[in-house]
Amino acid sequence: MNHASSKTISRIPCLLAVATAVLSCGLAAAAELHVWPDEVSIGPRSPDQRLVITHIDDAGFNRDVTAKAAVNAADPSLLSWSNGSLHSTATSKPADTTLTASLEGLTGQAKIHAIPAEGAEVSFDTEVVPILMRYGCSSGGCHGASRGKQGFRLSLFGFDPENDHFRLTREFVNRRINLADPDDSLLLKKAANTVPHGGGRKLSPDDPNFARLRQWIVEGAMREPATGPKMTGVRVFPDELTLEPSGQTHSIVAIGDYSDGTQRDVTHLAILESSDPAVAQVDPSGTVVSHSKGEVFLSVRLPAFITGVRVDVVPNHDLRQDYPQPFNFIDELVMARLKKLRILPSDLCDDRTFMRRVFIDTIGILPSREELTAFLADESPTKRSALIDTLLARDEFVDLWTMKWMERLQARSIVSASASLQKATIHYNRWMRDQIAAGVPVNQIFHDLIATNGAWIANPATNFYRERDSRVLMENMSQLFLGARVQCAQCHNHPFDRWTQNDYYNFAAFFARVKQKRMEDPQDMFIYESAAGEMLHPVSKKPMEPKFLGGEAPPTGDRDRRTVLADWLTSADNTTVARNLANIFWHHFFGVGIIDPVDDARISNPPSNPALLDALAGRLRESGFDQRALIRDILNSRTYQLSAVPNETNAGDRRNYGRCLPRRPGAEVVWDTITQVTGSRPAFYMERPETRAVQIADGNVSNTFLTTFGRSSRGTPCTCEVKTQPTLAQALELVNGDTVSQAIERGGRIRDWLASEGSPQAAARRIFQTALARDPTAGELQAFEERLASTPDKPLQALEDTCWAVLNSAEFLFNH
Amino acid sequence: MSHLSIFLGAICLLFAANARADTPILLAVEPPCAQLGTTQQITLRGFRLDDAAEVICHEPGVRITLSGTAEPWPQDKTKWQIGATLDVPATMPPGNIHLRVRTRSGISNPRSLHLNRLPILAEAEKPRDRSHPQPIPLETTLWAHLPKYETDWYSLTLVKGQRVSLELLGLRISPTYIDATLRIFSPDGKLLRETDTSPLAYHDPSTSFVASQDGQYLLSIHDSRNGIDQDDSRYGMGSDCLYVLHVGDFPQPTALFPLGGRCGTTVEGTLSGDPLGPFTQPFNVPAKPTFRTGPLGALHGAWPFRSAETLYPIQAGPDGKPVQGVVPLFFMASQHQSVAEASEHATPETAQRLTAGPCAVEARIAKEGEVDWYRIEGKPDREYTIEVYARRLRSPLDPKMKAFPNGLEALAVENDDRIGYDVDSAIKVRIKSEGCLVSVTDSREYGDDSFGYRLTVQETTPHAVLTTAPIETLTLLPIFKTGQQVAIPRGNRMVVLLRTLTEDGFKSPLKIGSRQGSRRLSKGVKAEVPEIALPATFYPVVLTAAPDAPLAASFIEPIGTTPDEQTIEFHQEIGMVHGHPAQTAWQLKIFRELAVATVEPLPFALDMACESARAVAGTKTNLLLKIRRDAGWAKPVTVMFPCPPPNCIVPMIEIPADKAEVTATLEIDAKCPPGRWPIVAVATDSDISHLRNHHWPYFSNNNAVKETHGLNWVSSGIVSLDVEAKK
Repeated sequence: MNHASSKTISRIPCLLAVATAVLSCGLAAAAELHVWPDEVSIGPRSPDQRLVITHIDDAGFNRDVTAKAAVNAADPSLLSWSNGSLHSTATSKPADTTLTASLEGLTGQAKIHAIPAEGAEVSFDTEVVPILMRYGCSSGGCHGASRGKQGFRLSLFGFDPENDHFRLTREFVNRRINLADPDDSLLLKKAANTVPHGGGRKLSPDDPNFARLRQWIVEGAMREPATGPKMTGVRVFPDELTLEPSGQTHSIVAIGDYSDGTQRDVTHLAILESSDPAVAQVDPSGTVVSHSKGEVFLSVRLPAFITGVRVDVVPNHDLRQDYPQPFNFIDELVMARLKKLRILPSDLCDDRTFMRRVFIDTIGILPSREELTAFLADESPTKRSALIDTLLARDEFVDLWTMKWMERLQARSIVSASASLQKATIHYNRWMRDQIAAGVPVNQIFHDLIATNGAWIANPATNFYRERDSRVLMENMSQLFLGARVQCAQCHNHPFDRWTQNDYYNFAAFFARVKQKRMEDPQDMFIYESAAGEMLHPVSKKPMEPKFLGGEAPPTGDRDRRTVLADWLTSADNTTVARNLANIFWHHFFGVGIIDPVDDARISNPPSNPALLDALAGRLRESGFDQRALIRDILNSRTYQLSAVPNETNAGDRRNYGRCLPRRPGAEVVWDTITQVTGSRPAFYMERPETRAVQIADGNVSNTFLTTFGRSSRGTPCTCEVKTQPTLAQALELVNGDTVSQAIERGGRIRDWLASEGSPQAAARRIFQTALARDPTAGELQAFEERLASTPDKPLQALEDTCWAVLNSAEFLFNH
Repeated sequence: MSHLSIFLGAICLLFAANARADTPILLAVEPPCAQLGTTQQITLRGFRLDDAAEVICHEPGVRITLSGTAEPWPQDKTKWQIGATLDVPATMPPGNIHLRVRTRSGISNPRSLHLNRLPILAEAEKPRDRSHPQPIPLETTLWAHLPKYETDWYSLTLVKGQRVSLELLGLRISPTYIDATLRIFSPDGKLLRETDTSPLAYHDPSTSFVASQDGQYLLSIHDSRNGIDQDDSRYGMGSDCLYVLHVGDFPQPTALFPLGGRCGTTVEGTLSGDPLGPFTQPFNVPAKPTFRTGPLGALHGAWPFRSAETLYPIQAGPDGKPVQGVVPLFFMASQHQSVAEASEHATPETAQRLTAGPCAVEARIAKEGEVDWYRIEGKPDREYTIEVYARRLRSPLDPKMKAFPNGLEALAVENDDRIGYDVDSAIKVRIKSEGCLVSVTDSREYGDDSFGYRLTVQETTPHAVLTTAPIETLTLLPIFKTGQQVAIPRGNRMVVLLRTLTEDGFKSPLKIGSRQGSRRLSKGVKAEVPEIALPATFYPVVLTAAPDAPLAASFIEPIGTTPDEQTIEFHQEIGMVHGHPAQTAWQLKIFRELAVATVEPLPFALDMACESARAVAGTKTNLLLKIRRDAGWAKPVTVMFPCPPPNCIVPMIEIPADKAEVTATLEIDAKCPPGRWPIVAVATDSDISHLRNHHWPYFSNNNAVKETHGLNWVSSGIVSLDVEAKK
């Protein structure tokens, strides 16, 4: 590729002066009018259904035109329209009609299903419980605490309605609910704070939800029969908004889906929250207000359900700039997102920067001077791709990815105070290395880890089952393979995701029959699937059938449950694993995951670029889960090869990959690059001296430097075990610690260069070339000359000081 | 006074003031193997061997003569080495023997030496690599060191169809921890076989195969934590790793059926697993059960032992060709009536009837998921012990047993892993008139013809074994790390603490003696045995060496006898190799004899001022202790009471250098059983607190060994304490 000919980006102020019409950059699209929800039922349970009518202009911006648009129903006898809501009228039989909204020559339509009036009682499960959640009554800080509050205990976020109903109605009969005099009910008086309430006033008596609570008591404070309609899901409309900054408002409406096929407006029952109120806020009625430029996720939470709205707040102007040509599909999707956000990508990085970056990212070491020289001299337009192929074939690539997977698999020798599993750990590490070296598809590795039996040492994949607790096994597996943290659902429904307590124990049931048997070797353990063993629900104490997370309950029969699970998990139809893997690989090369943190995929933490994540996952599946193939695509993308130098549009953005984000590599790579520059090779415990830090098999083997720089302790499968954030301790270790200085002195490489390069200046140049893949600047050379002149008879000392300074620089410590 | 006299006096004082605390430590014996019927030179290496006087062997028959004097080991001059001539009769059985060095001032821990039939070959000069393997002929026993990070390479020239059996002794012979992996490469360079741990060889590898083509086969040996190939051999252990490798055309069956039989009968055993196919071999079950032994006491159940039963290692192959290795196929000889497994007993309805008499059944789980059912009949309301022997007999079966003493509909008693027997199972039940249904299966639902087991049923009877409580444990040292030998200084006393380990409610006083016909105490040594009328945990036996007793060693075999003439056997479990993790004892050798040596005198002795004392439970009583010091020797002494009566506490006492007497106060709890209890005190001049802060020196190569002396111990005589019940 001819990087010199790459187009440069024009000045931003010129672009800002151009009219907002979308021209060359391809933002143009026809304006539209939408009625949300586009299909809904109205009836006695949801007599007033809010609709949102939104206008999407040709630049993609939303405007709430509910109040302005003309609204007409094909059959006006079924409903009326006022104040942005549909009002049902009595009907004796189900009927459908179409609602049409019109504005400025545009029209939008919605289908309306009118439901006959029957069963309009207040539902405890689908109304009272959500109200208690919405106003914080069942939160952990209030009555949802494990011991409740002031003698009144509710299930956290309403995950156990049966228990909540008991607490309200029968735990102390007539105390909390007064059927004879509903207004005297403590529930209402506490909510309105008409009697002292530690939580203060939660509901005003004129609040419709207060009226619903009262109505529930009036109707007898009953809990509907198990056959009554249950909420099966919640949707929010519109689910994407693009707003301008500084005060634009737009409504959203939450719709609950019920098991009887109806829909209801549940906006007034939901908890509405913004992930970044500085960008946009949402009030309890569902009105969104934009503030500053950025991206935000507005979550809509009900017991057991969560959904949300992605809101982009961007200036409504056109950059009028040709975006650079994409190198591959990755760039197309990244650029599309950048265009929407009015962000221009940085330039391509130069060859030296690219070489250093791709070496560190891909194989965890620095390029040698010979490799760098050869690469720079190569005039082939495909030399970057050729280099990438070379790196992917190197053993160091295998070492690096073995370490990364073993971190997540918690490969370490000590798992308790009394057991040392060093041998099993080494075999486990070796097994993973063999898999990666042989190019075994990643989903196959996952399959082998899950559906395995045998002894830790003879069949190292069984080390996956060091954990005995089926629940922890499931949690680890979910976090590692699906990128889902389901731990919350062990005790209650997940507050920020869709996982219920049932989901949790259904999924854990796949591991309920995993057993361990001691082997003769006390370092060994035999893993097998028992014929019996069930996962009991902690509340009902009933055995839970194995059920895929977010999926069906498969017939397991006599099959090993874990084989059934592994088949599902690694099948071509399962996109979740592919997305998770793609995100893991992406995160490694960009420092920020498309879902970030990478192992925290949940509805309330959506991907920054869903299309990109899907495309990467698709590419992974197409390649047969060949991790090298996907990594090759990533490295060959323009996006990866962008410079770290920001422009005015992308300087504040960290989620959309408009530039390279400088990032500190993991502790092991920092250590290895330091030893590579200095020639020092201190040995690790039980490792031969030439072992690089990334090759250490045992998570419990470390040293002060590695620990300070955040080497993973491998205590959990969480990516957070690897810490790359700078700390004061790291700075002190570098500046005041003896690691770097001793490495320089003991490594002897500076001494060798002084002898071999012919002059101190040449040796100094060699230091810069090796550590930073570049020659020293004139200023840096001047500084070296001055240092040399201060001790002219001690050139080695000047060189060692220079090396120390280089190794302490941010340019060395960060990959950029 | 002449200068010479002053100098000699000073030397005497110096010696007197620094009495040797010289428990020697035997670290290694090289070569670690010897051929039967040969005489060869060996070298013994260890700490404090400079005054070595004799090499003794637990197994009678070999003759070992020290040659020359000890010299500092050139590679580490804190250690000493001394040569010896080893003369092994051809009539000795193959296997490991255990040597100790007696010095003038102490006796060492035991160290293994392997005897075998094949000629010995030493390793060639190192380094070797894959391109330069050391050729080894068939029918050879090779020994070698395995230094850190190293892979050893050997070559075998074979012809197609030739059987080759290999057995490596690593952990079973190495003085330091080794975890060897053996790999075989075919002439075309492909990895033919890799073996790390063979079930029959405990943690050592063994294998057998038939050559599929003519040519040179390569063998490689590395620590299993090393890398895949030599370039990746990243992990390794200590520098004293040794191994012995048998290479030959000897049969190497891996499974035997049946696994047991009645003493005095002839059994037709089927041996399978040899690459040339299974074969049958009749063999005579010994008329008298012998004591069970095994390299891994922990897996064999260090205790309790049923002295009526034994494990009998098969050592001969088909056609009279001896099994060369020491991989034993265990066979359990017992007095039980033994029956064969019924052809059909896969359901409760077809359960095989067994009459507890006692009795045993020889069976196997021949296919995956198979469940064997038995209906056991016995005397009503007697408690029976139903036990499965599988893993202890080296069967791959991991038994899980269920018993239904109250019928199938009632709750079952289940046992998967019996504590102490690891993966084997045992259940105690009371059998009703309709009998008790019992099922046996593999807990993992595995099975094939090699999954044999032996189910025994016998009435539960109390039983016990006698062992030692090493005096070193008083310094908080783990019992398995000691050599458990006894050194008696001339003109002084030392106590041997015998301890009972009991099961199933054994409560009987013992009369301590030694087995008739066993080796005796050496000349000039007398034993003082207490008479205890109550069931006791500890039985102190005080050995006294006369001032003129010759410096010598001997082995004694203590036994206990109950009032009803039941013999309680003695065993002593000693860790032979310690290693990762946490100094785990990887080889626990069970000895039936106690090593005792008379050593040079110590400059102090301990006496108790009285021969008997009286006390009331719930009170305190005092005992006067006296230290006799030689002239010119003045050091503090620490005194402890290793076996006070039950519920009685006596604190450790320091006797300063300037004091000769001290009073010990016994706090006797009200729960102390009334009766006559023996009391004995031990004394040492060693700094115990110093030792407590260091790793124990035995078998460790760390620096603490070089700094730490051994321990001097003497004991008092036995004082009888009559405890009266609290009124």
